Amino acid sequence: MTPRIKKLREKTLSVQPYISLERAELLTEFYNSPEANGLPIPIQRAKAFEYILLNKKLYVEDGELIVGERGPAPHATPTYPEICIHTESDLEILDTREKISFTVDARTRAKHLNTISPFWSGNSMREKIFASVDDNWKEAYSAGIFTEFMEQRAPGHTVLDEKIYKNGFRDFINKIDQVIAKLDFISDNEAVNKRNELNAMKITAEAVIKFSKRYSAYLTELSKNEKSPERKNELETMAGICERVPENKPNTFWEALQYYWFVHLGVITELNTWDSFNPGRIDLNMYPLYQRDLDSGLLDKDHAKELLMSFWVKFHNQPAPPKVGVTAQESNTYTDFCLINVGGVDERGQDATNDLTYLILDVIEDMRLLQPSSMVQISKKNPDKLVKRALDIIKTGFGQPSLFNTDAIIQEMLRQGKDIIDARLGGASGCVETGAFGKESYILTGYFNMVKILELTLNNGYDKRTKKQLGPETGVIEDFRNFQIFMTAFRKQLEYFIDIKIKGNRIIEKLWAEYLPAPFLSILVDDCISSAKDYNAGGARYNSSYIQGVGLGTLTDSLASIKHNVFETKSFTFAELKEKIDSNFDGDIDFRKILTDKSPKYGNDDNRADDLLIDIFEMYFQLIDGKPNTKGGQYRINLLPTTCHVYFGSVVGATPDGRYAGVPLSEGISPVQGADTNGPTAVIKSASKIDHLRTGGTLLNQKFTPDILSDESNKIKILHLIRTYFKLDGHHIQFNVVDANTLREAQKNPEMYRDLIVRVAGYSDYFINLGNDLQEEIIRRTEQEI
Amino acid sequence: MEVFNIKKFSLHDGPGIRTTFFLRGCPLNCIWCHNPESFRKLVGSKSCDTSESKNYGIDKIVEIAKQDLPFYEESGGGITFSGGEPLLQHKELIEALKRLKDEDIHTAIDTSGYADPDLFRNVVTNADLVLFDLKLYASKKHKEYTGVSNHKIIENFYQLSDNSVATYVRIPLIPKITDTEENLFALKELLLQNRSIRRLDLLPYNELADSKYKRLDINHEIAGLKTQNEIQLNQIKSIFEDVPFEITLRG
Repeated sequence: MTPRIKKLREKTLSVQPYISLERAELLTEFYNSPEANGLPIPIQRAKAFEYILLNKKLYVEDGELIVGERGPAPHATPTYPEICIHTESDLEILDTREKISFTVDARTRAKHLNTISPFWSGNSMREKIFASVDDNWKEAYSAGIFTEFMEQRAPGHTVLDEKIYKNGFRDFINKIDQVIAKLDFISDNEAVNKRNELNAMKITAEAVIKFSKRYSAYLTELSKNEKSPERKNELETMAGICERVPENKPNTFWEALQYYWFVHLGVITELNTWDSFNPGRIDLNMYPLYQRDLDSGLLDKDHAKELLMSFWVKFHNQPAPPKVGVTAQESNTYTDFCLINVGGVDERGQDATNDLTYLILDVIEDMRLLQPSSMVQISKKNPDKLVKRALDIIKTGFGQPSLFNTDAIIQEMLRQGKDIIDARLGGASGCVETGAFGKESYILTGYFNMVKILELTLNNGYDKRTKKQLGPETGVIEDFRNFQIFMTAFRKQLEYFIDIKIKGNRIIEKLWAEYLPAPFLSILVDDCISSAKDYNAGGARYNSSYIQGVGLGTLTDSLASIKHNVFETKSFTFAELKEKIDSNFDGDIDFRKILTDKSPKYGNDDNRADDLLIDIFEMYFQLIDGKPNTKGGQYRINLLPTTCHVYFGSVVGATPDGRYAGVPLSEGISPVQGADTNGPTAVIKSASKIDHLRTGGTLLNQKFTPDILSDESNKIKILHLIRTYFKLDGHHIQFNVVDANTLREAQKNPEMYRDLIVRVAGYSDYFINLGNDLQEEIIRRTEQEI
Repeated sequence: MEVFNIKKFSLHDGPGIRTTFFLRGCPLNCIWCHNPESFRKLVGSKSCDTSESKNYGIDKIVEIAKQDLPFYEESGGGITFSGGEPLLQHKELIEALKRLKDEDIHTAIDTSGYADPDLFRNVVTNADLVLFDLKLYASKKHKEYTGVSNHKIIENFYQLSDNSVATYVRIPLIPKITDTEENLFALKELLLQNRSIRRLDLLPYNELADSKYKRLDINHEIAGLKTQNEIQLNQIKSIFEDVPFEITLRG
């Protein structure tokens, strides 16, 4: 790492994020100005975008090679009052909370409360949404049955393809003009709306070009005052780059990175899109320019690496816009879920890895930054070398990269009806979400608390926490004569709440389409230009809406416990079980032990549990998949929690699997913490009974200590483990390399860490099974390694 | 079959990802094995604690063995029967080996080699790989430290070569007992006469669980022994430098 990158990296790691009102003030100024009056909404939005980009402060960090910030400086985090208005107490919480805080200074607070908030009050998307949804939606939402993504942040959930490396914004403008020229005002009722949308796109395209030229001028000015001849030269070069891109297509690797960065800033300035934005397959898409620059001698590998590292810092400079309320609990992090993809296959389905793939992996390892996050796509066509390189980085213990099965991702998209080439050029983004890059809007609409449905079924639709009859009356469980009756009741509850969620989603989709179009983002996603339709209104080639199921492991184990104990072994009656869970087991350790230790558990390749998992999956799939959204696409399922399993757990009482009230649910498709006692092959076998190919992503976590990967022969066996999971159509696996603190935690709470494998000496064993001395030794060793 | 433990994703009992069945009972009484549950942790070898076992029919064994078939196929792994001493249950073992062969699953037996030679041959010729423990060459010492003479063990060791049974030899390096130059040179001569050896695993002693011995005051002879250091391990390894098969430290 060069000294200047080291400096940039240290700086981005040390700055405390803070709230900046720059964007909110410029936006409000624009909407207050006469110029905004009477404009069609898309044009108004586009002009506001332009106003922000033309008036915002420019910033160039000492020594950086890629320029541009979302705020007036790195880590200055904007608000989006047209979407969600922070209250005074929100600002107080942001400023003072212990974790993931954002400094809010006195001027900011005053300005926000005196000017911004009053102006937008009553007009924010959040308020529109809550005014438009039904009461039963609101009740279910408050009870923690589901969450809603779009009440604080904009639909985004999309990733860029190769189009910006082949087109400048001038080319996009020309395309837009061609479509405008062909509009049919005689017979197309939508022609006027289409023209507005296309003109809005054009305004934003011109705006981003002007923005880059402002930077060019600023860099020229800086270069004049620069004393170091090398930096002076560099600043002049950068000024030249910003003069050329994004107006024109990039001619060099450096231009390509800078071009993308302007695009990124445009997207995250226009709206606070979920998962920020993402260049996607940069090893595939930027390779031709990289190789050409190397061949011509314009670039060497070291310089390419330095450029990439400077690029990496730019992502890290933009913390996720702070959320409020429940959403803050769902995903309370500075991470904005930009997930760089490397590896995978090319448009012909061949191994897409190249030298740039490995250079990027070097950058990931050296930078060790939370953002951008990274993943490796692994197809059966990719070499083992790729997987081993990924494992070397995983071993260093910062949770990256995660590993994805390209072949499964492609099949998932084919099942959804996508073109095979679009599928091959896609990947996964956010946490684990499958998408056709540059061509799809794949919106996550909210997490769905499957365990809460179980609780409602156990209580005949009544929610004791909010003291309301939320669901239909599906029967008193004490009367249920067999397990099938219970499952039928569960299905009725599930269907009822899924329908509430979908109805709410369809209302919310329409609000976004009408009030907050995204003309800039629409330029970047096919086929918004040719269909003359906004990204938020269904302009993308593919439009998928997801409802993310949470708590699969807890639900499976709970159902298995009911089936096994109440109906098969008849260890106790439903009434007894209900009494115990209602009292949070009331200290009855023996009773709880039957649930935790003597009942079948998912994650052990045990069909008594896994068959129920299959039933639940089918139910959830049948009730959601294929239902239409309002954008010409369909509802789909995926199984991932981010951190929502913690919030969902907090609203669910004790469960029949022995889980105490309020404890987090299982996460993703991982087994309940500590329930898997037969090692990783059994977990993988259980997890692969889920039909991954009918989802748009699943998340599986496995824990290891770093030294298990330090032994070459073990590393190969982990490689085989991954290859086998992917052969069984697993979508994603992530190795959490645990640190010493986790091991200490495991010593204290062994029952939560029954699955934790450590390398001892020439062999591996479960950590909790080791003697205390040995545990201490391993903790010391782990402390040294990290 | 009396099985006291089943370990999936077993990484050190033969090639690839394996499922290891630990079978009950052992005819040896190794001096370093008096604290049985931790012995396995001392040398990374098989366990001698066979007290809590469960009876499995062959069908159940095959069913469990087949669960991880995709992993064996991907990694070149399979099933290992370890112990205790698996040959004590030779009848069921032969049947299990045959059934697994029908399923095209690779099998290994982890044995002390202490068994009737005819019986030994019958078992090992039905397996794809034998993991063979060699401890001490000198018969007297062998009896002193393990409770049995090594005559049968050495005879069986030759049988592996005569019948071309692929073999990994494992030598537990117990300080001052098995890791002496004299013993290792003698074992090396023995190894060189066997044409079936694919690999030699030298298993260093691990002092980590040693404190337990001190606390329990069970075995003064073992207490206080130290893990071989890198220099010692390299010296030991160099003894076997010129053998025509792969050598590993730590299996």
